[in-house]
Order: sequence, then C-alpha cells, then structure tokens
Amino acid sequence: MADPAQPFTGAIPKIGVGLRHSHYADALNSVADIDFLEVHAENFFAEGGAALAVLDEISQHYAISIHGTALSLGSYTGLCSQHLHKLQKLVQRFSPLLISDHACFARTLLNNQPVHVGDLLPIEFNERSLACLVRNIQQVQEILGRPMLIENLSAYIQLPGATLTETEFLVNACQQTDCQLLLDLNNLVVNAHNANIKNIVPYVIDWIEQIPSSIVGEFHLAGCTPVPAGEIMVDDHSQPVPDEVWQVYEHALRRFGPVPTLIEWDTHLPTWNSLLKEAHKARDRAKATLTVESSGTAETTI
Amino acid sequence: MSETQSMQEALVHALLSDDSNRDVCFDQKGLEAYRRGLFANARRALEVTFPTILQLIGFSRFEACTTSYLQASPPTISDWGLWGNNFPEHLAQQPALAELPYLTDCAKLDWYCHLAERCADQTLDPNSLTLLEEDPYSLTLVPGVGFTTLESDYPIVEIYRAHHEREDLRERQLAIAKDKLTRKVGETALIWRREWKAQVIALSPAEQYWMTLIVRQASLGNALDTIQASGYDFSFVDWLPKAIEHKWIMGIVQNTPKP
Repeated sequence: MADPAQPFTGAIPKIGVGLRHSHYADALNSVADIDFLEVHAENFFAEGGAALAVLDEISQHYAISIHGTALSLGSYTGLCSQHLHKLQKLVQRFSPLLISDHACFARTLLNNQPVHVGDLLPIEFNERSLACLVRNIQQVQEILGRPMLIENLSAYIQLPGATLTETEFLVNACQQTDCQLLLDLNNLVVNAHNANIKNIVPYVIDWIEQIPSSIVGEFHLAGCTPVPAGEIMVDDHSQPVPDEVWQVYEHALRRFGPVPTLIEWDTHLPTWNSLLKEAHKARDRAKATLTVESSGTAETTI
Repeated sequence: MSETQSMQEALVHALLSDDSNRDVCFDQKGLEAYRRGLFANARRALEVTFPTILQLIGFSRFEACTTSYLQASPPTISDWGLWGNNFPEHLAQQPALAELPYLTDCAKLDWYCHLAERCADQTLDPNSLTLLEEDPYSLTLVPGVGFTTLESDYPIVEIYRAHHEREDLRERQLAIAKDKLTRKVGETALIWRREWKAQVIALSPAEQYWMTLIVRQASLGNALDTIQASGYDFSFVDWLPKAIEHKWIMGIVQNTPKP
C-alpha cells in the first residue's frame, strides 16, 4: 500500500496470474517464475475430489489468492450461510495471500424463494445500498477473521437512484469496513467504452485520481473482445491486456505503488507460457515505472 | 419492501423472464448482455454435470432445455456445481424429448456420477478389517466414496458406456446399448468414485440386493441374514476382496451398543 507522503522505493509488486483448469498440469510440471496464482473460490467448493487435491499440490509451490465471483456482497437479502461456510473452509485450508470478491449482487428473493443467478449484477450507488454492502462485508470479515478486497465492476446497465458517484461509493465501503479495493483497471476501460467516452485513458485516470492511495490492495489487468463503438463491450477476459489498460496501469502504479497485480484470462485461454509472458510484461512495466518513479524523474500525470 | 430489494428482485426477474414479460425500466441492450452471460453460464454448468445427456440430445436441444430449466428452477445457492438435481425430471416434461424415455434415468446417472466426484475424500482403512472377528451384528461396512445404486427399466449402464468409452470402443458399445433397448433390458447401476473418477457398472440382481443393504447401512449380521433369506446366490467371502480392490467399501466400523 502506498504512503502518499513517501516516494516509492523501487520495490516491484507481486505479479500473479489466474489459474484455470486447462493450465493445472503446466503449473505443476515446472514451477513458474510468478509470485502468486489466483483461483476462483467457487471452483473449489466441493467437499473433496480432484480439483481440491490439485489445489493442495499447487499450494505447495505457489502462493494462492482466492477470488470469489458469487458472494453477492451487495445483496439486500444478505449472504448465503452455506457459501460463507465453504469460503471459510477454503480460507482455512489454503491461508491465501489475498481474498476478494465483487461489489455486486447475484442473490435475491423471487416469490419469497432465494434465487442466485451466479452473475456480477450492479448495485445502486446510494446510502441504502452502501449500508447493505458494508453490513455484508463486515459479516464476511468477521467470519474469515481477516480483511478482504472488493472489486469494482464492469456494469452493462446503470441502475436508477444513484446519490453517490461510483468512487464515493467504493471509498466509503472500504473506509467503513477496513477492507481494501481490488482495482480492476480493465473494468474501468470497459465502463468508459460502454459510456461512449472518446478519450478513455484520461477519463479512467480521472476516476483513479478520486481513490485515496491507502485503500488499493490489488490490481486486475485483462483484455476483452473488441466491439464497434456503440456496442456493449463485455468483460470476457479473452485477450491480451490492451495498450489502454497498460497506460492506466502505469499511472495506477505511480499513484498507488507496488500493489499486487494479477493478469486475468478466462476465455479463449492462451498457452501457459503465453500467459506467463503477459505476467512478465506486467512485471517489466512495473519495474520500469517504479524505478523511474523512485529516481524522481517520472511524469506522474498524463 | 425496500427500494433496493425491489430493484434487485426486478433485475433478476427481468433476466429470467421471456422477452414479452421483460421489465422495461432497464436498458435492453445491457440486460441482453447479462442475459446472454447468465444463460451461457447455466448451459456450461449443466454440460459439465450432464455430459451423457448433451451427447444424447445434441447441443441445440440441450441448450433449449437448460434455458427452460433455468427459468423454471433457477439456482438457489451460489455453487453452479450443485444446480441440476431436478434437471432429470425437467427433461421428462419436455414433449420434444418424449421419444427418448430413457433420458431421465440417464440424467440421474450423470447426476450421481457428478456428485460422486465432489464427495469428501476417504481413504481405505485396512486395519479395520480385523473387526470381522467381532460380532457381525455390531459391524457396519463403510461404503466407498459416492457409493450408490440406481435402478432403471432401461440399459442405463450400457448407454453411459457408449458415451464415455474410448472413441474406438464406442460404436461397439452403442450397438450393445441399442440391442438391450430393443429387448427392453433394464439395468441397475452401481456408482462410486475411484482415482478421482466416477465409476459405473451394472449389477446382477444378487449384487443389487446386497449393495442396496450396504447403502442403507444395515449391520453386517442383518445384511447377511437378509440376503440369505432372499434366496440369492451370494458369497460374502468372495465379494469382500473385490469390494476392497475396487474401493466399494473403505473399511468396517463397530457400532457402540446403545445404553
């Protein structure tokens, strides 16, 4: 975490990649030069079986980050106790480097029955919704006995009833719960595209500038399928990190310091080596950015 | 009801509804993006859980079934891997699939295999076999991981094999399955997990009778009495080494007498 009063010392952030099923064997065949692997919590919710056994083995060689996609932290109806119990078991078993999920909802009641749609649905940016998010984060942290990170969304609809900006909403949630922000830079680029913003990089940098440097605990970098202007861009994690995201990453490093950084790639998966190359690219960018920063010659604005 | 809750319910309702019932207060393009993602996730989850059904009915019919199933029985919990317990019954209600009456039982078999692969791990306890010297009415066999049976009027084991065997064996296996279907031969499947993979075999009537007693956790003494009284030709002495080798049982426990 960066101290805004101090210049960065040139430390390099931990760099990780998302681990998906088709790369299990590669990750085990030879230990890669990578600082951590991120897994999706829900893929390891079974009581036993091959996936958990593989993760046991993986965790002997790599630090693990547990990233959830279905806690439904913004759910007004509250959290699912079964989900919390499974997450708690996973955290106890693997002592992850980081634990994160999204500032979104997926669980509600329909005809008084719980329904969980397993998606990252947007929440309203207002005080009611904030209170609900804060309550749920506090419950998770109490059960896990440690702080978590919440990720900003790529949202494809804007809900009415907002009284706060997205940054005000997220900063408040982090400050009221002592959790940290997992800043997904690609999500910001996707949102800017979907809002028909012409100059995406300055727009995203302006967004980033509204976040205090003390609350950011991780970056996510990804790329997604390009679409023509006016079409909705879906954050499908299917491509290399695009230039726009690299540009805002460098700015984010200068602002927030050597924050752990993850390359996410979930669909149209590349080879394991290509994924590692993308991670090495992030390491090189961080090294170059932060080394220049520490020598005091960096431009900090774009 | 709070406005936040109403908004969340309305959005989920809009995602699961047919076009004509869709709530107009949400941006339709955005809603469509979420809807595509949701239905694709549901289909992918059921493809993993019901691989035999996907092969039996093909992608487009499978996709239509997963869409209607998601609308009729959306998940109630976050784990897609535990969604689908009543998908077999949903298939039975589809008029377009009526010519495949064995589909429901095949889907049940897929479901049990899927659950077997998620069960808690267990290791064989060879030392517990020394308990066989004790009173058999105080002993219970510990079933293997995911151990269960499924009785059907259709040759579900042969159909399963025809879709899971090595590619070069499938044609032969399919011919066996078709022959048994024509002759209306039913099968009882034994499902369990070995080396992380679900295993499926067909049971003889005597084995079915015996395995069902194990699933029900009858005491060894009672199970032996019951199968002897049934008239089936069954030898526990012959069965036990096979059961240990195949991991149908993981050991024996002695029940403490109730005070």
